[in-house]
Amino acid sequence: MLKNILTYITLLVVFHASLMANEIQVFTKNTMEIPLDSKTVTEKIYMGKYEDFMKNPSANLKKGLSTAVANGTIQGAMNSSEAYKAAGKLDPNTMLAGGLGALAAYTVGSGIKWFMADNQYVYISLAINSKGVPTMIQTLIVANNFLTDSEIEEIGKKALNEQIEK
Amino acid sequence: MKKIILITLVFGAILFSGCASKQAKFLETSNHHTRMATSINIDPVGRSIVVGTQDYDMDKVSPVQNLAIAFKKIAKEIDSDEFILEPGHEVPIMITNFKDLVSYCYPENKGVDADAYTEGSTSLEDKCNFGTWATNKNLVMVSVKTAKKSLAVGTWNKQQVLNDPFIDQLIKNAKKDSETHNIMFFKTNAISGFIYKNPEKREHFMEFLMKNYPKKYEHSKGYIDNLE
Repeated sequence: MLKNILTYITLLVVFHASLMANEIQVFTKNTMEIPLDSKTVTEKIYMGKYEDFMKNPSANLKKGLSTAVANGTIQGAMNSSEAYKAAGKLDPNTMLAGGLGALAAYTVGSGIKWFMADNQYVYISLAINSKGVPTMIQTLIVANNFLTDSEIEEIGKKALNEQIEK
Repeated sequence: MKKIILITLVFGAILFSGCASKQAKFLETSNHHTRMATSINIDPVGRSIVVGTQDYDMDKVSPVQNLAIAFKKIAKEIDSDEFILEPGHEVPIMITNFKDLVSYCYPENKGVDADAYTEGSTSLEDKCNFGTWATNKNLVMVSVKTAKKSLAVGTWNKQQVLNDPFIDQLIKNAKKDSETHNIMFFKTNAISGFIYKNPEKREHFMEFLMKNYPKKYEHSKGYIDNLE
């Protein structure tokens, strides 16, 4: 009798725990929709809360891209290969020129309530394939519960790697 | 024995504490599971698309089905290979296909509209804004802009939307629903969609149209009045 009741309680606890599990959705966009071969070089340009990113997406992308380029890891990798050299020097202003107009509308103050629901995070990387063609891998992570930086990093990196051919 | 009852009560309380908010949420969003698609309306510049329902009393609308119809229409009409949604819809720039849109905006959908395409969440909240601010809560409105591929902002692709099997399945389901609910499809220059076969039931819809889209109303009135 007691054993049965204990089993029942254990089942209840397990069931309850499964209800409380963190549900996570991951949406990834390769902005230029170009194939990324195994020699693709990448650099993280933004990671954080979606709410913070959307306060000024243009500035956040520009800043991240400038830092990534200034770091030199991407440019260094590009310089080490003939194909990369063809793409020339990376200029964040030129690279972003086409999309900033569209992004300008997505700023705070436009009455948009993006961040009211759930916990949302972004992980954005610059990726340049072996032909020297750049794209951005933008990942949106939606979670029922709070995520730590290392969890965001892990999910973001996984989403990025899934875009790159093995 | 007292102890056992106490323990059971405590665990019972823990169990149901987790369920309380979920139950309330289900009631709030349950209208997504009973659905009816209705009208499509393209504005003169061909940029905004309105999809709504004439049904005010019995059935509730399916925003997912309505959105499927709207996106198909957008893809057919838009004069550009790529497009983006207006920011007011609160759809993140990473979402550029219909399946992702449904998962993000209506996460609880699981095979309700098209089996095996959406995962179905039990805890994530509904998001996005497709015009349920309007007087008719069953109205869905989508505004898009033509765009070019760019590094910073991903775009929706016209051909991808046109050939999306998920969208096609949703529209098929919407049409099937319309048959079981005694609704028929109609089309004029100004407006097209689903409408009740029973003229009395159309009155609500025409009133809504007259109030909110007087030009479309004038355009469509004669045609819809003479439908049978």
